[in-house]
Amino acid sequence: MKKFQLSIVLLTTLVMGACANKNVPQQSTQIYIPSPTVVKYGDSQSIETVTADFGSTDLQTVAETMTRSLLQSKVIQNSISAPTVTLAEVKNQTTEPINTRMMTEKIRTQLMKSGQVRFAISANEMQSQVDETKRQNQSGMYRNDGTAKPSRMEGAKYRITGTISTIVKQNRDMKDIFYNFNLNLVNNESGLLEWAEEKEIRKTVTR
Amino acid sequence: MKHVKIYSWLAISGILTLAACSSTSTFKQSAAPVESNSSFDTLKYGESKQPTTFENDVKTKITNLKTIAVTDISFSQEFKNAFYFEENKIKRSDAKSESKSQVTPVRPFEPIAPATKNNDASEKPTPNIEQKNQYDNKNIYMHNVGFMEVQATLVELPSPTLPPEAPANNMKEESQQNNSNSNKSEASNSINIEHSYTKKYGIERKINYREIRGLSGPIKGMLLKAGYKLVQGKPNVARIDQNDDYFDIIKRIEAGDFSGADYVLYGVLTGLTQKNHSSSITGTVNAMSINDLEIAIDFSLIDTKTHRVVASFIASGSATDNRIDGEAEGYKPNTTKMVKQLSGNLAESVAYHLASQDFITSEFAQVSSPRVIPGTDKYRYDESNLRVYK
Repeated sequence: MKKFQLSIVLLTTLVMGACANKNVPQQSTQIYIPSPTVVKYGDSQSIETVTADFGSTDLQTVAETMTRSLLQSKVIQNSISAPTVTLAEVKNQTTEPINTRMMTEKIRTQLMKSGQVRFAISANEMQSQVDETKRQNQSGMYRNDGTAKPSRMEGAKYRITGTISTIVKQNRDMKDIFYNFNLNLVNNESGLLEWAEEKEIRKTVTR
Repeated sequence: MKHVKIYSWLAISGILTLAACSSTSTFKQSAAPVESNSSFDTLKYGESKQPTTFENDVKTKITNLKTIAVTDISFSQEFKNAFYFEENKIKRSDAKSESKSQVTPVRPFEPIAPATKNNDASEKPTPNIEQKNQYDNKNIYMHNVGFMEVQATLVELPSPTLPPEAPANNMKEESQQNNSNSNKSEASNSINIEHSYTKKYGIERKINYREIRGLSGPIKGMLLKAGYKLVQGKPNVARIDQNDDYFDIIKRIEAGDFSGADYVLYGVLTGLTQKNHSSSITGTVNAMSINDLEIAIDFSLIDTKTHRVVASFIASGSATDNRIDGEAEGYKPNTTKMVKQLSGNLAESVAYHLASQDFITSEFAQVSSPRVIPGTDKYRYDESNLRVYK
């Protein structure tokens, strides 16, 4: 009986000791050693196919197509001086969170580089314009002759509006996404649609 | 003999010297346009570098200068005011005295109490007795005149104490007094009292004839620049009994108001609009307080000799004094700045119309050419622009 009791005590001591030994190495492995990562600069123009979502390649394709088409339009070609344009809303009618502002701004940059179009600031950028004008004119800190006066902004003759929409179809093995990007140039005074262009992109994912 | 030789030598040498001088002057003239035969590029002056004939032009212009007078802007302003007049008369036949009082009688019917609104002929006027002395009968057009006479005979009225002449706004009190007279009619002699009540109301129309001064300065400046001489005309002061002959410019020309002027630029105000409102600025949290002033003037340029209208147009001018968040800050528009802006804008419009009707040359009508943007083909092919070759 005594032997049995002694063996139980020893066993318990061994188990506890084993547990205690197990805890010690755990505390020592708390120092996190990250797995080695590699940072690379890639080609910004290379085709990106990580997922079927709207990506950088789509953005570049759309911007290039739209810019080329707009610069070849009669409105731009036949105008005496560079017409003033503003960016209006491009509605995202897809289920994806697409930053449409980034698309239109990319188009704006490319059009500006051409020198054939002048851009007036859009409604989204008005707050900074108003703040600056107010600061110059109403803070009392600036000379009158050098300040940017209010009510002297130049209104845009045209505005760029558009939509991006998708048709998504999928089965167990395949997913098909059809993007349709539509851009319009509207004459602000007459309300006439002076130019329109669309770009279609199809992307398929198979298992 | 020696003297003769000396004189002859002197004469010959003098002739030769004169001939040499004359030949050098001709040589200079002829040598000026000669081009060098060197192989280097020659520097040539184009036509723009030639001596200008500006002085001659100015001389011819000065001899042909016409004189012009610019009037101030005439206008008429019509006022419509409501008036109301009410009078009571009480006549006693036995007391050998006649008294007048403005007492509200015991009326057989309630008089109409007109609404309190001006400038609306369709509505009935305000009961304001004090207005009656302000109006000139000549200019009063009665749209509606009410007249009512009440005669009443009271028997055995005990020497009524007639109320003194009381102010018109004491109506309620007067009415009560009259009633008390009636109550005292017991145990008195027979007195014949004639009681009359008159009420007049209507719309008074009044027209003021005036001139707006201080707008024609920039127009005069523009005409001076265009090469005209200016004559200051006499101001057009309205008479007391002024009517629409205030706008008879021919009468003023013949009266010698613009003596010495070949032309008179005569302007009559067509419209004047002032707008003050606040509007939110889209895409911001701010609002713009907008203060606009616009004017339209009908101008006629009249030849003072033939009385022909040489040019005629409506010129307009506008001025704004906008302020971001002005309404919240209680901003008051700067009218001085606005009037200055307005007159300058008006002068530009006048210059444009005079040029379009060939009265002045278009160089004085500052017609702005469309701006050409750097980077465009138009800018690139325009030789007047700076070019950078790489």
